[in-house]
Amino acid sequence: MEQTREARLMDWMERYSQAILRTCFVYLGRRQEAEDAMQDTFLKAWKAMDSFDAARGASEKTWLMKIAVNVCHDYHRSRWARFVDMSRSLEDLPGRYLRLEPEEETLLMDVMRLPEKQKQVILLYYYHDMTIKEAAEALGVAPSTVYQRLKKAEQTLKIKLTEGSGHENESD
Amino acid sequence: MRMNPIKHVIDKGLSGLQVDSLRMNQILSKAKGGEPVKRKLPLVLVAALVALSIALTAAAATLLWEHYVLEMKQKEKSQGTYVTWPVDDKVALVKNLSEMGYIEESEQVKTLLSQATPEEEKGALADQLMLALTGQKDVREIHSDLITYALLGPEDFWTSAQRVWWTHAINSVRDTSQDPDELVLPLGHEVPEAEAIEIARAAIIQAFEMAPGALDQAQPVADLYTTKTRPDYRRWMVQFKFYKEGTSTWTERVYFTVVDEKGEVIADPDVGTPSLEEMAASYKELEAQKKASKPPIIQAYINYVEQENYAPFWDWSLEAKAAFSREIRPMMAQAEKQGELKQYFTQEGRVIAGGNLSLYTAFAYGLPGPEDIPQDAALEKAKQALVDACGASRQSLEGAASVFVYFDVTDPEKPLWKFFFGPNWVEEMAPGKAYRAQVDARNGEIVLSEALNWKELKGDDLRRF
Repeated sequence: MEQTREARLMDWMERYSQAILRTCFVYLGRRQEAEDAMQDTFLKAWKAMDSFDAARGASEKTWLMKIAVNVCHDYHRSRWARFVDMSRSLEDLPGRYLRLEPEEETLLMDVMRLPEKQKQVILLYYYHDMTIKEAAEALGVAPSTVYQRLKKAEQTLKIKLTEGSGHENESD
Repeated sequence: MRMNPIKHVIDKGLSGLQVDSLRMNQILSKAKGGEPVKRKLPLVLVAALVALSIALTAAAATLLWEHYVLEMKQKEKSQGTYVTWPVDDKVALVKNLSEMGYIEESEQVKTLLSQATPEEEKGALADQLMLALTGQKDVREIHSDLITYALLGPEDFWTSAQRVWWTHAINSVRDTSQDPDELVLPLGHEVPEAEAIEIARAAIIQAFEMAPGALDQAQPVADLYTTKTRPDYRRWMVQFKFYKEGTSTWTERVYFTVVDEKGEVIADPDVGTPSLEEMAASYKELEAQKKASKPPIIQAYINYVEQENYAPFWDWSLEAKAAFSREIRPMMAQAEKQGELKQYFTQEGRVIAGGNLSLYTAFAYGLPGPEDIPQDAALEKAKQALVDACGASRQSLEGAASVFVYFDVTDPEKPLWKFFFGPNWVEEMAPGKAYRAQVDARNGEIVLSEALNWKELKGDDLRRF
């Protein structure tokens, strides 16, 4: 039984850890915090694994994201989060961030600076490709609430997100 | 996969954030070993809360709430948030808020508190009153944080003592074992808050070579803290926050530094704060990188993107598309002819620039002339064609969340009006439908009309616009 649980956690981590880590980073703006939040997400998932009932049709991705969002929310509302200067968030990252074009960097920063609730729905709907219904389930709110928050986020970001992007070839 | 720029910028910008197998194994080991034991509320915290309570006697109602919220947080932790509470508990919350003066003693409240009122009605009344207080539309949103912010306003505008209280309130229901620091109340030997703010202000202005008064419009926020590594060393974290216009919670820009208890401006590795000199140097370097020269096509494209306020290409005005087409399309053709296009693409053939220039320059765009039918007339013809030929409803076309319009002059003798109708978010619940139609701008004939599945659209489909 324990072996099965281990395999299941590893499977979840292999499939979702990277996306969850990036989600946590966008949410929290600090690499160390994001890594801690990602770890906490999987520790909580391990603890609550028995309550996850895939047999009843629950989506493990939605379930994990619900945990991740709640973990990030806890981190976010702590005073620690107040010391994050989002304008510096990308500077300490390893890898290729400098290859972002100015307008891309602006968009990423704008997303990171969104009010918390708008950021939640943007991440779930656009980054994790959830439906409004799934995002509502993950956040524990009504689908209409998710819809309203998406509309607000669109206004805040000043772009029409549903209209695609210039990066189709890259995501193909 | 939903097509949007968000996923692209997150994956591209954060591509360095990876989780390797070693990290996964560490997490697995932690999971199998059990989570760290959560700490109980430390005695020093209880003392701090008592001290704080004494300091806040000027605001009796606030004081009451600040006591009450601690209980509420424990209740939320053990029983769940407000929406799950029994009616009696909801009524008790409203009653307390009413007695504290936050909810007016209205007829609604009197009915709520009346023993004659049926329980179901009481629950509904309590929900209504709490929604009104917090400004929410969904009762599931109601929790202690929201109520606190509704009563006290945004945290940045509280006193530093209130933030100490609030941090401890939050920490009373979360694991703080990993927190590197703690907010504390002044003991009296530290440089005072107002002085720390002025010291920080002067230092930031000097380091960033700002004009005097450059921070006058910023909201100063100062918090006194200690860290686990240096528990007896008290420091002020001083931030100067600029908010997005019209908001008091969305921080658009923040300058910050640490002023220690003696009034020295310091770098504090305990809380990841570098020296002001380092921050200023890093900022200048970043600004210089942004201003670094780029290939002419890319720079020209960026100019348009900025001019159009970072909207995606398809949402630009007809005038912008036409100007872009006039300027960039010949540049792209020339670059392609001279074999220079490779400098605009990565090795994988992906576009380096923020947008897909080859896609945007696939067609020539212009503006309608006197011999062309106007946009409104063409749009009407397109809608009618989609209704007749594709079974689109008028309602879905009129309510389309996005309508992209192009005036295609690739063939100057046969200009085309091109329209694309994107789905509304609400339709996300159902299969997402999109439509497109092309109208001959000279004679009004329908050249193309078709229904598309939005979710299946890929770059090549967009190219066909």
